[in-house]
Parts: sequence; structure tokens; C-alpha cells
Amino acid sequence: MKLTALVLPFLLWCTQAESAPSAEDILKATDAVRNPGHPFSVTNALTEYRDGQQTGASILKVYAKRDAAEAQFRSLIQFVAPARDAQKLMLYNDRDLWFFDPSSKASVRLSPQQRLLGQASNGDAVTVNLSNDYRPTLMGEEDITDGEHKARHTYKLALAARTPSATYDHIQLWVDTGDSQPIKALFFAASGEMLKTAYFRRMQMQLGAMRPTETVIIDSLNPRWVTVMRYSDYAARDIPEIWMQRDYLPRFHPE
Amino acid sequence: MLTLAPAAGAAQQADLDALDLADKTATTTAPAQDWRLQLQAAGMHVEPRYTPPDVTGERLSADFSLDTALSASSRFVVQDRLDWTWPAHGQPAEKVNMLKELYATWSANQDLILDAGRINARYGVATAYNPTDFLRAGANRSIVSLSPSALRDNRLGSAMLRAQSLWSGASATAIYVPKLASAPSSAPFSADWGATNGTQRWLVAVSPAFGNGFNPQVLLFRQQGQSVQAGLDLTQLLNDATTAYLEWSGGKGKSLAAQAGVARPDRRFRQHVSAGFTYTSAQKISLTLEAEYNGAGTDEAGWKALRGGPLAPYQRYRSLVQDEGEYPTRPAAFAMLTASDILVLHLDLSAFERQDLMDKSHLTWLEARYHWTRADLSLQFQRFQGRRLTDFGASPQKSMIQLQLSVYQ
Repeated sequence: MKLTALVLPFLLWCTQAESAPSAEDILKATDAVRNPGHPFSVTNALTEYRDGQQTGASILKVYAKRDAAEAQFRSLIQFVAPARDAQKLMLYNDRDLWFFDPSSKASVRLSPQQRLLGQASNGDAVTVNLSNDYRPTLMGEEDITDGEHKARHTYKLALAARTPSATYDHIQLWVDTGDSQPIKALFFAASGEMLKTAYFRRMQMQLGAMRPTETVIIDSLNPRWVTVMRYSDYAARDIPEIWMQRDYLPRFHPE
Repeated sequence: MLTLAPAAGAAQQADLDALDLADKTATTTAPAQDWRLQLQAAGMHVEPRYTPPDVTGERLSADFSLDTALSASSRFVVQDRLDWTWPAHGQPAEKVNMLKELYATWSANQDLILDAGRINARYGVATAYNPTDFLRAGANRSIVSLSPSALRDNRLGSAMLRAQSLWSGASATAIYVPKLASAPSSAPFSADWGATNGTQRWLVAVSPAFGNGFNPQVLLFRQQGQSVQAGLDLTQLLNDATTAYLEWSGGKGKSLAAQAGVARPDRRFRQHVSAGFTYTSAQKISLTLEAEYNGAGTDEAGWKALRGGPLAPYQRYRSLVQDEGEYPTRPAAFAMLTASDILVLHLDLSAFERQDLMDKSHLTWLEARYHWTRADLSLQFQRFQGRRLTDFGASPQKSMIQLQLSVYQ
């Protein structure tokens, strides 16, 4: 009896230890849900609201390719709408950020703080593997309601920036324990100030996996400022290495 | 309901409201189009420096561009702008057409691309003064605004043959610009080859790959009858909010005064520099500061002599300086402030100041621009200040206010 009382909790602990994945594994698994593992293009339609009224809309075509050495994605973003910005380009390569205007043929280096997309950070619009930029810690498991009002059992991860290219200082991320789908995230500045909340929604089968096709971003300073990013037209495609440089921007014509 | 702490009830409701809003968002898609059209209507009020009274004028402009595929390996590009200006109300209109680009491009393979035709090959990383923009001479045929971005947008390319090779993170470009005409043309619909192709020129630009965001560009440029000029473009990200840049060119050559025939031949090594940084705050306010040096401009004694002498040599010098896209004197400074959505949503405010540090004359430029989905309304003010015949004090305009409506298709 005494032996059973000692051994049983130990066996249970062993079972749990075996079944609970590490924080790194959870983050990598949810990265794989958000991002295809091969080069791809996707259309990102951004709609901005303030106080319930639509105040802006942009359509971006994103071409993303994983860097062979660092495993982080590099993105080339083509502005499709509004007409004022049509054919402008943004190259996002780690902290190397270039903006190209076809009217002036000028390529201008930007800092991460120079936003081109209204309330959304440049980093929100591009493809990012969080496991490259952040060190995760498993905070526990929580039952939460997702962005479509459904109950979800989740892992709660605390992510701390570990590279200068990380857009945020730290993040809290909820990931479904069953299918690794990202559910919700809170983004913070180094000061500890909460910057925004994001809900990942509209899971659809895209390029071989059920992926979120919509992100709803709520500004923390003014929760009446909302950005909806909706993804469509996923396509696996070849993205030549020469595209991902400043000098190719004047020549970029993907079709 | 969302499972948030009771104290976060307001945040919970805000999240629900935001999700409801997202539910109501219509899915919008639009195919990328290969052409752009911008139409402008502007009214100007000019305060002349020498001949009052004030003058009111109008302008209509159309700017069209097309970049379309001819085949799997070739493309056709055209950019054209027509300015239709009434410099004073009631007077006949002046028409100026700018064939900015007209060229065909052919990809021999994915790494080698050949172009032929009129191409706007622009180099340089600085904001206002670009010493490595070697093909800028004669390019500004019609000037509707003195803002650096407008001057870059509204310029002619040069007729050229261009070959570019690209490989991982790096590229090399060779350009040959033939002589096609001897003198610029003021005919309204002239292609004006004389403005951009008045002499033979060669340019080579190499962008090596060093990694870690270090992406320099090295240039060599030669104009027929002149020595080779070298150029270097450097940019660096200093922190999340600041980018810095350095643009340099140098080589043996005559001063601008000697080229204009108003000074003795003085061929020696000369340098041109533009260095600065752009800082952007979390509130989307950007500040650019730039220090500039034109080693071919006149020194203080030469400038004083030119300004104090007969008018004809002075005018000849200023005309050459303008054609070359240069500054008349040596040291100058530029500061620019831009703010987006700062007072009212969709209202952008911009201001810049250009100062000639030798004669202390300066240009002030202010703009408020409100934008809708397909249109912008901007109010611009520019003022030239300085003593008689200084860099900015010689402008026939003392100030100008321009109200402009731009519509985008």
C-alpha cells in the first residue's frame, strides 16, 4: 500500500512529463500552423476602424520565403490598394527594411518604427516565425474563449524577445493544446505597457493545414481602434533569391 | 463569453465589440494592375520678388505610367507627364510634356537583365542632395514643387543601354548613355533628348553583399571629356527609430564656375558629400537632418565676386548650376519634419528648410495634405529668403501658396 502510494504519483508525473510538450515545441508547432514551410504568396486585406467607423483599407500582396541560414522569413510586400500606393514595395529582411516608390524610382531605408500601414506595425503584416525571435516559457494551461466565441483549452506561453529583429519586447500567447492553432496574443513594450491584443480567427485549410485566415488587432491605448487583417489567395510558389534585395525592387514583377 | 478577470470587464467588452466589427468586415480583393494614372488640378498665388503685383495662376497635370509584360522574358515601360500651366490668370497656357521613361527590358536569364530606351536610373540614399545621382543633370524639365520627393517624381530619364546582373543579395549594373542631341528643347511635346543625352556617359554600380544589413553601393561614372568620378552610398540602421546615411562622390574636375566660363580653369580633385539621419517617434513623427557639401561650388570670395559683378556671368553660372542639379555654393543644410495623422486622421503635415550656410539665404516649405481613398488635397507654402542674388534670395518668387487636388486611378 505504501509502495503504491509512492509509485503511483511518480508514474503519473512521468506520464505527464512525457505528454506535455516543451514551450519551444508548442511555439514551433503554432508557427507551423500560421506559416507554410515553403515559399508562398498571400493577399493581406487590412481594414481599419476607429470608434466603429471604417477609416482606412489597404490590400497587400505578400511574398514570403524562409532564410536558409536563420530560418526566419523574409517578406516582399507589394501594395495593391489604395490607388495612391499601388505598386509601392516594402522589403522586410530581418532588420533590413527598404521601401521602394515606382514614381521616383527611389529605394529608401526605413527604421522599424516608420509605419506604413496605419495602426498595424510593419512586423504585423509580414510573415514571422515567433520561435526565431522569442524565447518561450510555458505558463500553464487555461480554458479561454476564442475569437469566434468557442471554448478552447490552451497552453499559455510567455515569449521574451531574444533578437533585435523582434517587433515586441514580450508577448503572451494562447495556443490550442489539441491542434496548435494560435488563439490569442497580447503584445507588450519594454516598459511593460500593453500595446495591442490580437485574435487569430477563421481557421481554413490553406496549403495543407488549417491556418488562421484573419487576425483582429485591438489597440490597447484606445480599444476603439481596430485593425482586421484578412488573408486570402494562398499559393505555394517559387521565390528566387535575387528578389530579396534592394537592387531588385525596381524590377519586381511577380506574375 | 471571454474568460478575462472581472477587473478587465471593459477590455472584455471592447474585445467583443472589435470581434463583432471584424465579423461585419466585407472581404475585399483587387488584382494588382500594371498601370497608374494621377490627375492634378492646382491653383497658385505667387508673390514676385521684383515685379508686383501678386500673380494668380492655375495648372492641370496628368501623370501616367504603364509597366507591362510583352512576353515571359520581356517588358515594356512608359511614364509620361503633361503639365498644362496658366502662369497668370487669363494668359495663354504653357504646355510641357515630359516623356519620363520609355524602354523595353529583356531577361536573358534570371540573373542577367538588359534594358534599352529612356530610363530613370536614380542613385543615392540621401534625402535632398544626391551627389551620386550622376544622371540627374538636365532631368527636371518642369518643376511644380520644390519638395525633394516632387523633384524626384517629375524628372526625365536618360536614353541608355543598361545591363544588370543580380545574384544572392548583390548586383552589378553597367550603363551607357549615348549622345543624341546637342541642346535642350523647349518645344511643348519634345522628348527633349538634348536635356538628358547631350553628351556620352558611362556608369557602373556595384552593390556587394556583406550581410547584417550592411548594403553599400559603389559607383564609377565618366562623362565624355571629363575624369572618372567615384561614388559611395552607405546606410545603417542605428536603432529601432533611426536610420543614418552617407552619400559621397569625388574625382578630378573643374569647378562649376569654370564650367560656366566665369572663372579660370581650375581642374583638381573635388568632393561632394551628403550625410544625415532620420529619426521616427512612436507617434509617427519623422525628423531628417542632412549636412551637404558641394566641392565644385564657388567659395565665399568667388560667390561674393559673382554676386557683386555684372549680371550676365552670374546668370550664366546660376543657369549651369540649375541644369546640373547642383548647389551654387559649398556648405548647405537641410531639415525636414513629417507627421502623419497627428491632428486629424488622414491629415499629414510636412515642413522642410534648406539653408545655404555660406550666404545664409534659405527656403522654407510647408505642406498640409489630407487624403481620401482616391484623392489628396494639399495646401503648400514656400518662401525664399535672403539678400540680393544670394542662393535663395535670387528667386523671382518671394513666396508661393499652392492648393492642389490629386486624384489617383
